[in-house]
Amino acid sequence: MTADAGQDRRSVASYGEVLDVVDVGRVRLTRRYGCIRRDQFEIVTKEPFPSAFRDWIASRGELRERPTFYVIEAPGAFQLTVAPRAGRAILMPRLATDLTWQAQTAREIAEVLDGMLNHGSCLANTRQAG
Amino acid sequence: MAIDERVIVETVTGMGLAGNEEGLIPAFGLYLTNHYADFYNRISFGVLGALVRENPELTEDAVALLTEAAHVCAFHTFGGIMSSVEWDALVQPMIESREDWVRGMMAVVNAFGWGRFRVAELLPDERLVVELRDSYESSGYLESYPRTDGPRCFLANGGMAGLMNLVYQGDITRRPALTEELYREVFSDPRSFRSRERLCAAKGDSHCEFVVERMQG
Amino acid sequence: MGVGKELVQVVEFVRGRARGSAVVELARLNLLVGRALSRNAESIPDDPELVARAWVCAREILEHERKAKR
Repeated sequence: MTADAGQDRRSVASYGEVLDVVDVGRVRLTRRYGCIRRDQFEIVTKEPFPSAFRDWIASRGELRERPTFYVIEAPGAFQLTVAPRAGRAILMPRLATDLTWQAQTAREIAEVLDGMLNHGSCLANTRQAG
Repeated sequence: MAIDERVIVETVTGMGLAGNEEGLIPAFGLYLTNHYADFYNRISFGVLGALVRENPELTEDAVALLTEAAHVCAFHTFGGIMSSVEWDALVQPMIESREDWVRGMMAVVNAFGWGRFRVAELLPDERLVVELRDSYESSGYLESYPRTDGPRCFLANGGMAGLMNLVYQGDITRRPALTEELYREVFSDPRSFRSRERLCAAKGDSHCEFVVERMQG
Repeated sequence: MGVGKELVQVVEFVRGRARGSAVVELARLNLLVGRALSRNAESIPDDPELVARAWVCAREILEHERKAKR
């Protein structure tokens, strides 16, 4: 997903409309229009998210865990809600970030997740999000 | 596993839903707003009063617009919740039938504290009867106005129709994109669901009650 | 001045062209005009001023709907 992907579509898009879908290895990343200043990113895999992913993303912010899902709150940056067993997460960026950063961050998270799915639990990609 | 309302309510209330520095609550894939029920009530009932003050015969029309606002709200809010990651993780594993989508949503709504909703009757694809106690709309109304002769829970009433339309008309179980196009398609269908508030605490009933049925087309 | 003929035309114009719920668009018409046209048009005199205002409101509603649709 490039930073300007969906740029043409977003000028006429309405809330929830899909702007772009890309596969990052085994991870499907869907970008939806939120408003003029932020999009929403869905991260989906066919298998459950590895627990190493939670450990990695937890280092980016405050982790709130419920029995079946968890939420990472990266202050001023984003909120990521993860249903690990369902293999699904939603990235909701903060308004303080710009669209380019939002897309890059979503891509980066997808790449790290794909790396983990391909190589067990090792941190295949250590670039930071948030 | 059937819908376990206790687990859903405990989990959702334990999520620590609160406004962030933007004044929003990012949850269920939505940006929920954090504001007082009294604030909503004042706007809602104030709009009704302003629209019909000059001509009471327009009450029906003002209510139609407030109900439309509730339909739009239900479509995006309930639809968003039922498409969310949280739903996938928490409610979806309990779902055994299409009717469980209705019951699951009702449990989430109860966790939000909008009142105590209870499904009294649910005939698949046909009819829903919901009882509501401690509705913030009816209690808010009685705090500021005398007892009325008509129901006043416009948001809850439209919300119940929205829920049935999402489940049986728009087939939310297939996760459609919640676009304006779909909204029109679902709610403009002559056989789509509409709700009527048969009982309302604002008019002296012990609780509020909504009956949701398909229009006759 | 006739009764209800022209106003009925306005109501039918909105009902026939509404892309969403006709009930909602007719409620908008009634509120903008300040009269319950969709229910009583047949019995309201076709006062030229009222008819003109009703047409303006009807076009405004449908135009707004068309714009929102884009």
